[in-house]
Amino acid sequence: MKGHNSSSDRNPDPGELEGAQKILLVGEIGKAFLDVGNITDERYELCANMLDAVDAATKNDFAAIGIVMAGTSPKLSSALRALRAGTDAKIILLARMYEEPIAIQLLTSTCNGTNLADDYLICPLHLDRFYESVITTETRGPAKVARSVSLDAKIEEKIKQLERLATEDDLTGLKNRRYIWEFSRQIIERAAKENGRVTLLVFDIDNFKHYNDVYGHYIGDEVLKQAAVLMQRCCRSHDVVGRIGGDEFAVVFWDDPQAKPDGAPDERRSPRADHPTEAIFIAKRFVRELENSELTPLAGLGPEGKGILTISGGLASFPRDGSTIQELFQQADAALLEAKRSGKNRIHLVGKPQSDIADIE
Amino acid sequence: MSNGDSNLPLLVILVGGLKDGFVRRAKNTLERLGVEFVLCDNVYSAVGDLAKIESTNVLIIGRLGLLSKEQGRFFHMARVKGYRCCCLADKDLVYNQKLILKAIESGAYLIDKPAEIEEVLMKLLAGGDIRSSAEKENRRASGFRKDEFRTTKAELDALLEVQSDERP
Repeated sequence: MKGHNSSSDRNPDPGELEGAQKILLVGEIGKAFLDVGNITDERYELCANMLDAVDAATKNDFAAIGIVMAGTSPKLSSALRALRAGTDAKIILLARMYEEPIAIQLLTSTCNGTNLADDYLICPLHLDRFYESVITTETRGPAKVARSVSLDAKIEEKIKQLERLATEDDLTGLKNRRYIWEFSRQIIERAAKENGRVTLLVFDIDNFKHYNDVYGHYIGDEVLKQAAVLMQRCCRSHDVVGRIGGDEFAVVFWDDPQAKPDGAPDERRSPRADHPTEAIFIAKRFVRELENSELTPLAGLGPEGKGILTISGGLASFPRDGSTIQELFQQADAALLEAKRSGKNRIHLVGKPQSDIADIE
Repeated sequence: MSNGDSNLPLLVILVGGLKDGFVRRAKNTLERLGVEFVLCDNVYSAVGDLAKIESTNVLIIGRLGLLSKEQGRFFHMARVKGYRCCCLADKDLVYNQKLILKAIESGAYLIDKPAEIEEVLMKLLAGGDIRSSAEKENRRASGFRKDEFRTTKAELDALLEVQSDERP
């Protein structure tokens, strides 16, 4: 691996890889790869920032350029446009889970009819696997020529399908437990560094077994699907909603700097600060929406069907209630249990066993 | 400020959008003086264009805020490659002091009024070295001379809570 000095044109040493089989990595690669310390080969060149990357990519041939979003300028689009103008190399964004929406936005933005980036990958990754996947499938000339376009499209579709299966719940389309867990871990890590805050809501549908037993599993499934749609509608676009068990759901509320309007005041973020009001407000809205909704599967019940579905939940916040994802889940689960014990149809806050969020303005 | 090869014709990279009055003024001046120039929206496309050219007799013109992206990395690149920079640092705008220092350290020529760009270009085209007057101009723009800057760097770092190189 070489640090790229943009100030000089390189003369490759004999035996080095051809430029077109090298990958240029930009930004803080320690934030994207698990095994940075072990790599000593010539497959990669490094640039600390996008200015050096534009310079290096314009002067040299690279098979691909991997841009670690965590270590680069927050406004990448100008830099990506310049990269596109200077090189034909494939541009891959290396995003943490919480950067995925920005990566998708960049991927779909265009510059002279070409997308600003070709692909994005969720970090952390292994350097070896990253290299192999980029070089073998995309850039080695003969392989690419031999493969038909339709086969490429089929494989790409298959990969997307596998990615969906690995991260999504197939019944509701929400994120699955594995995704919620890993996302929360990463977002808490970031919040710890940036003095941010993460709030976890864990809830389940009251007496869900009853719906399954009385109306059948098909109706039960429909109830879950519609509850999922309703919850997503109540949340902000960057909050992550997941189904973590049979009728158990989780929502991760977090501070997205991109979503915050300029000049909006920060909420207090000390460990003793109270729960964020946005999360409480959203949870309240969900409970209210659920009360007012007439869920299609339960329509046969007539007026009795309205407001029949209720939930119980628990809210826990980082750093107030725990500093790891395990602690937050434990605390939110404990609050959920408390909500159930005290009569269901309510959401409890950790540390406030006598009051549910309905009492909080 | 690094030397460009004055035997080669001057090439100007003008950074910014035409909505900016300073860029429009610089563009009109360049056209009137018959100087070859390339207009770049931002500093990234400027770096891309610079990577494609051979000449070292290059002057980059733009607002300090635009040229100092990525913590002033562009100034370092320009110095290493021997390009000259001329930045507009308006008196009425507040700039990050560290970025002004980076610009000064790299030898960038700071002006504080858009109209001064014409004087800079005339001087360059007449074969003069803007470096000779850069110190005076930089003093005017930043409030201190380079030798003063050296003696006060540690103080400034302390003010900015930056770990100075001189400290153990």
